[in-house]
Amino acid sequence: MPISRRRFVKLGAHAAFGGLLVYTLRGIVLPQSTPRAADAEGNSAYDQYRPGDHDWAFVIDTMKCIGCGRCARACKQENNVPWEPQCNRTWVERYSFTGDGEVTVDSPAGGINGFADEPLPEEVRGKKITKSFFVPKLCNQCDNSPCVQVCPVGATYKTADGIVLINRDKCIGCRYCIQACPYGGRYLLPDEGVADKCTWCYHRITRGRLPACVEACPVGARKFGDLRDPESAVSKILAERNVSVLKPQMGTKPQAFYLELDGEVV
Amino acid sequence: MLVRAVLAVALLATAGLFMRTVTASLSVEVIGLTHEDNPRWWAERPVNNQSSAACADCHEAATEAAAASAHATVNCDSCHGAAREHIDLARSGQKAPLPLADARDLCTSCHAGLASRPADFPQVDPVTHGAPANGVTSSCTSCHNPHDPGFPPVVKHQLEGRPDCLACHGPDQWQPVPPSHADRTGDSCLKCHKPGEGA
Repeated sequence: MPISRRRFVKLGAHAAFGGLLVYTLRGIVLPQSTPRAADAEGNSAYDQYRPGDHDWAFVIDTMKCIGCGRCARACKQENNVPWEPQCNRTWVERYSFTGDGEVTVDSPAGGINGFADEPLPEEVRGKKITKSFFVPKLCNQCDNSPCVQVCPVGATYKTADGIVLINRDKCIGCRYCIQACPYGGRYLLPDEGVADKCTWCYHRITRGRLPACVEACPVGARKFGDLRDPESAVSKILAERNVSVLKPQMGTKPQAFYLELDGEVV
Repeated sequence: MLVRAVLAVALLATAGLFMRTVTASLSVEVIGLTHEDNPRWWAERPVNNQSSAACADCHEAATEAAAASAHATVNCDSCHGAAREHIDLARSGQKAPLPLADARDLCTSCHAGLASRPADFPQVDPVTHGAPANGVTSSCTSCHNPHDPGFPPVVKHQLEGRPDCLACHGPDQWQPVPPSHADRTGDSCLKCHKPGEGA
């Protein structure tokens, strides 16, 4: 059946208008959200939580870290991260410098058992160590996240409060994000077959608590807070002290900042 | 023509409804088009590690002592493990043991001397400090109270003989015996010294 261009366009316009009308009306008539079941503690803190009101940031003081690994251990317990095979949402690295200009980095089991019983790496054993320190690492919740950009199914996304999360129902376990993260922050959950990473303890910070690693740190090497609050510890540190981020040349805009970071740390 | 228009409208409406189900616009303003309730799923994960305040409900003395001590910044769960199950079980009246790792492992993970640790952090050499080889003790808690370590540490003195004293107060150790005491023998230390009373 032949149809003129004029009629075709007219019909299309009507149809588009009608579709839009029904689509909008449905949104008004039907409830916007269904009531939620309360969580295990009898309240649903997330109902009161407004992501748009927060801009979370993390500050790590490498000069304070003692490498006890309490952070990494608390994280495993908090987030049910498997102990085997080795995967960590947060971990601690030991940097050892010898006088000959060599730098050696080790992180036995991610530092979950500390470093007291861990011999120095073979490369530096017997040599004079001129400088050494620990560097705690975790997801940087980058503002310009490579992991979000590469996900082929849009399973990982950034919330309004700046946290990069993974939707396990959508993740297909292709590991592309694991490859894309310049910080090695992601791993594949062995049983679920989905990507996983640090969420800065989203279930704690949305309840007004600190991430588990921050609470566990005995020396205050990890600080967490809201950049929207000018009085928060992280706001003050960022305003007053020398901070840097890991791999700034990658342009990822990390939201985890390091105090007094040595230039050799990558 | 009207019929056809109505049909087209119905078709598009159906497509729109389908799209709405797929894209789930509940949190569009929050996270974009595709993750209806995923942040909520993450936000409602259980909190496993408890703050020390939660421990004070039952363990008042230990928590208060620790809070006033040099270990005030050490969260209970850091050594004792995540306490959620322990608290849940205890509240329902059940036994809920929270096994503690060996003190020597727990203490040394922070206090073993390492080149990488900040120099002003209290550190000892676990090989020589209170080591079994000295016949003194194999557990840090024999001398130190982890809930109130003191700074410098207050040490329980339950030992008497001069060899025991020298295990800690030998040359190059904490408060070493002065050179003038080098020739003294036997159990004589306690004749003059009252450990724990500043003598």
